Amino acid sequence: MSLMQELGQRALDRGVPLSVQLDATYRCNERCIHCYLDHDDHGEMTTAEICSLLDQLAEAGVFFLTLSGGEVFMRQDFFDIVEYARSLMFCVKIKTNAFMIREKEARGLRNLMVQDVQVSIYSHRPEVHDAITLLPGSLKRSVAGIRLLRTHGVKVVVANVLMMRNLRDQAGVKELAKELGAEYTIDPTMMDGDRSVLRLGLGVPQLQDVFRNSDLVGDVDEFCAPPPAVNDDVLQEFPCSAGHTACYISPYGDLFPCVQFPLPSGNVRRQKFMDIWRHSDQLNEVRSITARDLPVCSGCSHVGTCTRCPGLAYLEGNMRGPSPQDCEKSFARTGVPSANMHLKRAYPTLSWLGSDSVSFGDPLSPASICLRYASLSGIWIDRPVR
Amino acid sequence: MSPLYIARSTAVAARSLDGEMMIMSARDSTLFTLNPVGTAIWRRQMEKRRVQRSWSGRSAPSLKSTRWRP
Repeated sequence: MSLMQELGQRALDRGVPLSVQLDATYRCNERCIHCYLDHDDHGEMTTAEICSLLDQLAEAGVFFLTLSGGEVFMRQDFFDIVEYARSLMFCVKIKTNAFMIREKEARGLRNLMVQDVQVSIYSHRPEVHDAITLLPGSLKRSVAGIRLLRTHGVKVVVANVLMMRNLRDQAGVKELAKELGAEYTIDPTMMDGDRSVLRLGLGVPQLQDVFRNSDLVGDVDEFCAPPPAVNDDVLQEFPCSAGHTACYISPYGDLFPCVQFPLPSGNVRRQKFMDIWRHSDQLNEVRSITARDLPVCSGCSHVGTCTRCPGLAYLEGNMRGPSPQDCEKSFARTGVPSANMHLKRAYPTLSWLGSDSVSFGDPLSPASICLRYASLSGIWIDRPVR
Repeated sequence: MSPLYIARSTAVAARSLDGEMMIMSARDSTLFTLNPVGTAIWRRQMEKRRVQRSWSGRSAPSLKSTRWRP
């Protein structure tokens, strides 16, 4: 176990929120086609409110503070916030499109010793990148911002969100990141705050190509290996750190388990952070869920290795349900269909399941999983499958 | 008394977890932990730094006094 894993486990055991993402604003100078945010300002927290929140987060034991948006540099007081955060010794990471980073900003971030700056780059070709951000000249400016950051010795991570429009440019972006002296990471997940963006995401064939690219995943055989046998230890595990050692706070003070898990759990303008963290019914419900409590996924061979996101499952309607995007990833990675995929194929509409048409013999059969899902989800089964 | 003292670097992030200090270098992301004795020394050193800053007329950051200037 690495030192970081050890600290993560210790934080989990003691209920310490080790990581917080704070979106300082939803305002943005870009209008990315896959973005789900409302970019109008509906009453963001003031500088004083954010600094007071940072005091509370430091007191609560938060170590990793990610400042994101929207575009963080849309806030006039952004450097005041970063400086205050650093004075409280947070490990500060910043997510930005780097469009507004000039000499002054690059030098300022270096002086404040932020841990890293993550910049979203969609393509190395302006016609593709700018068509996604809908801001002409954005690639040129973002790349210039990255160069300035690197000149000042700031660590930069180029984040490449992959979708159908830019899939074939992945190698070009990776090469660009290398040339800029930046690290490179991909994200093939489409967040569906607005479900229309899901159509932009990668399908299984494209994911298969990504997962078999050794430049991206390292050892392909190891990465794409069939899932190991499931044991009791695996079923006792928590799905992810959301609500356990991490949470997300919006520009309006709303607290959620994660940026990808929009379950409203409290508001830091009305309550102290620690009161929400310790006593929120929603967070406590999230914390109560182990892999064993997942009606479909607990019977899936991928349960120990799947990247299942409870937030995406929540967006699909049930935080204990499967996250179909992750089912597709597990399938694309290993070639082994998930329990949810079996289930969908056998019973497209769960509520129309007929108990007289299924076998109960095998506890891992789609029918048994479906019944377990139905009983735990409160779905009334009274009609035959058609 | 010597005017020299050990000062903590500004190029690190630090937080106490369960009585032990986690420290991460901003230069290379190396993570360190201090045992309880090291943590106690670290805390005392932080106090000394605050006194020194206050004495030199540069107060610790507050909401009103920390306008960032590049």
